[in-house]
Amino acid sequence: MSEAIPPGDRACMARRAAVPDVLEKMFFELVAESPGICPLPASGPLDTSRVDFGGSARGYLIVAAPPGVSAGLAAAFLALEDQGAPASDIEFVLGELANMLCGSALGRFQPDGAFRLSTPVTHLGRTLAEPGGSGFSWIRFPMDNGPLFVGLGLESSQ
Amino acid sequence: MQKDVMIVDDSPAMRSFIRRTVVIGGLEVRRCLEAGNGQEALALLRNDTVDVILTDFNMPVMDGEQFVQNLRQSDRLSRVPVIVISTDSTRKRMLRLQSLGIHGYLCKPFTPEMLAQMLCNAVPGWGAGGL
Repeated sequence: MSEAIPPGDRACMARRAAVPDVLEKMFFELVAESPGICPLPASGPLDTSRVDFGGSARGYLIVAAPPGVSAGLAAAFLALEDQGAPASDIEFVLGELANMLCGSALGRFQPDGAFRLSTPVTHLGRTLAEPGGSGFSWIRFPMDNGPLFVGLGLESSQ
Repeated sequence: MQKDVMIVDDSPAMRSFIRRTVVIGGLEVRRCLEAGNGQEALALLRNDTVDVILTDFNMPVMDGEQFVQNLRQSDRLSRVPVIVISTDSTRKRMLRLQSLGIHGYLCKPFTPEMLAQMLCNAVPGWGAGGL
């Protein structure tokens, strides 16, 4: 990606490319229509997982999904579509999804960078406060069984 | 042709996914040993061996790089092919691990075909006619 593009825009492009790739290859899910920047839904619980990163750039990535969507993703990942995934597995898989999305987006954002990723912190079924900061945005990725929201906050970039 | 595989990853969900993906890729597995980090893997390999090792990079206790370094110092295990599977697709990390003599570096996300191809390259004769 061109260095002439501002870091925030490059990070956004990297996220738009990384999410469908991860969803298709690892979760057998297709993004149904064009993803767009939008706020989180105002009401209802969400399952969330956050990964912080440091190194060539510093910031964090959050995935958020309604409980039915994250349960469907976990079942697809673990081939448990028939019986459904238990809550402990949903937690594991959502963390794994956040980790993969973060690594994949950062690899696109700065291919020559060096990054450290934190262990994902995952919460099931809670109301998420909008993270602050001017460098944060959510992108909504619509899928057949509901939306996946992926937020990225870029605090600094070399 | 069946082979013995070891999967090293601190996520049980990812170990399960990789195990299933190897089979979906058309490769026959005789035994699949699993470990949550490099230290656990070395303990399992103390009196055993496998045909190929698939390991994560970021793990607690002993990470993938330390694990590969330990394998390379062992007369008995130094020639076991190692494939690193990681979310980190930055070039610096790949080059550093390749300098340790790993047989492949597979970035997540990956398809069963990508994993099978890398395993066939690392383990001669595996998958011949099966892919």
